[in-house]
Amino acid sequence: MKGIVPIALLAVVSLSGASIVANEFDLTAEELVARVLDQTRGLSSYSELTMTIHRPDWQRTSSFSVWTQGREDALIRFTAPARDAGLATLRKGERMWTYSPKIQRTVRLPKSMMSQDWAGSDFSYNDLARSDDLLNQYSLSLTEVDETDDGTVYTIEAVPKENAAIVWGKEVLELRDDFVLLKHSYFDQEMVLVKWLETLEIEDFDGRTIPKRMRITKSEAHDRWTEIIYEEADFDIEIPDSKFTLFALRDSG
Amino acid sequence: MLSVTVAWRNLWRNRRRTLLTAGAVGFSVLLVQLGMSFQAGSYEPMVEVSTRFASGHMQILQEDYNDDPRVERFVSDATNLRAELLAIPAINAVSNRTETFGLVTKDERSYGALVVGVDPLVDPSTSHLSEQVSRGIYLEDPNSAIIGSALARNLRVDVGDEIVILSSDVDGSVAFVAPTVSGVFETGNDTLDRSLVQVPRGLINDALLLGDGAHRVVIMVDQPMFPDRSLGTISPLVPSTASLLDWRELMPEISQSIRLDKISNGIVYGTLTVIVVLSIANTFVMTMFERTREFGMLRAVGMRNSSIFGMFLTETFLMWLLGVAIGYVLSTCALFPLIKFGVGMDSMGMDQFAGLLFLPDRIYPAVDLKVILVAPISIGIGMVLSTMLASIRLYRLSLVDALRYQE
Repeated sequence: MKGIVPIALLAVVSLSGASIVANEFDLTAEELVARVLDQTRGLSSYSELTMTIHRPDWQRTSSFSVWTQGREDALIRFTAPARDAGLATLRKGERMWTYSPKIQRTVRLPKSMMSQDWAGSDFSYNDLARSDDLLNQYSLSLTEVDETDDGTVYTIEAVPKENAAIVWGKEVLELRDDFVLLKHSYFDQEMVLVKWLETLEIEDFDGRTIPKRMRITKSEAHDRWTEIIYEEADFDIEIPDSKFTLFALRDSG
Repeated sequence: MLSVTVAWRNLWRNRRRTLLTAGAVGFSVLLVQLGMSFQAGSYEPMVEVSTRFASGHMQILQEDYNDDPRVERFVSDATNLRAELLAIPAINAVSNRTETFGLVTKDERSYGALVVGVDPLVDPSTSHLSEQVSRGIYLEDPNSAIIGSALARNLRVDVGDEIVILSSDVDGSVAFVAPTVSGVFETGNDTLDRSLVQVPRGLINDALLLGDGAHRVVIMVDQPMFPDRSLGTISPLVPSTASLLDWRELMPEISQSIRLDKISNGIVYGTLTVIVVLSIANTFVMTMFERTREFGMLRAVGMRNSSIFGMFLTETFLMWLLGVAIGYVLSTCALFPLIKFGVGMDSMGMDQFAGLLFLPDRIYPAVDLKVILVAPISIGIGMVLSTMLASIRLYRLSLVDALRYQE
């Protein structure tokens, strides 16, 4: 299922936030994460990315475009390689569909698939597709504030609430004071590190500082990773609502 | 020869006892033979039915595929391999199969399933699935699919509907196929009916970018119960990165249940034999007491203990022969109609169980050398040991004591 673009990217976009410098001493963990997430709430974006999946014996790169509107709607469409071009995924809130130009069919992706590994890459639908989960389903606490050369780095520990349907034992986020996500680590129920997403390059796009290059690595196999790179990103642009419909999903334009 | 005649006459000095003892031998032979022939008769059809549901008698697969099935672990150039395999006389049929786990969807519904790509003209020679299609037809169109009845019910699809299957190709990209359901099969095996979809191999291979690859090269041989006999001729054709597995490794649950059945039945037969032998030993010891004076007299006229023991042993042998003869006559009478007509599983109220265990509808007892020989030989050995046990008295008792013995 690898071809289906990580809705994750949306989360990445939202977490990467804006260039507003926070008053670091006044913000709680919730507010920090909320501020990061809120930066893109109600905003729209268009970005072009490449994704590289690395395996011990092969590596492959694909490209796709992402349109987002608010925090609910997103459309992702592959542009390369040729055999994946046109393959698209639409997200409307909790619901997701995928479209294959080859067979010209749209398929609604079931919830059961969200919890599965996104085959071929190291992303899983669930980590990627969720939006407000960090605020709703987790108890957040600010565990560390480090002054570094790049600014203040906040370490936030996110522990799933009692009744939350979350597979992780906890997650740890490292945020810079300009709301750039530096690292996001996932721990299992035994508090063993399972995988982590780290920012390798940071760049300004359309007036925003965002992680340009991010890599997700699983701790059990360091020679298996997936990298996404922003080639282009535009924020606060006009996107017609019709972009986020099943009709538009089928339209390769 | 004289000793045989004497021994034979001795046997009939107490007709009732001899007939009862021989009858015990006969009935235990009958019982063990009946049981063993049913066992022998059920294993082969069990293997045949189960292998024709899924694994085939043998398979060539890429190393590790069986333990960790991944789409990229396939045997390439499968069509040529099949042609080479078919040239081997011991091989009856070969079918290439491609497998992938996929999400089968119809409108808003979706279920995970094992999607198997087969060559529709070839696969029926290795699998019963084509005969289990209860609605519609088997795969005829290159863009068709047959699906299990429970899966069809869950997805609410019927013959003629289109389903979409999502899976991953060898690179991990999404692979889609959208075949039309041509038939719905009902195997009676819940797992298969709930989670199996078959499509033409060409369709799924294109989507998964497999070329002429196959995940399982399924082989049917002449003597499935003895897969080792064909290994020598097949092994040289197996590609270096692939391995050849037979049904015992592919379906360990079947070979294990056969082994378990053999062990548990072995215990029952063993216990039965021991009980019969002990009662015979008891008879022999009693006989020894009764005939103490007779043996004393025989020794008095110059017969040696060893000769007396020899005579006693001959009597035992004749008794055994009589018992086994009775047993053979009885089991022939019992088995002949059973072998001819079989026993329906439903008549034993086991038809549900049969579907679960891949047993056929009717079981035909099978008679082989083991069935014929095991019971008579083990009872025979037991009888010889009993004779020896009883004869200890012969050597312990002095001539005078023997002659003066009063019952």
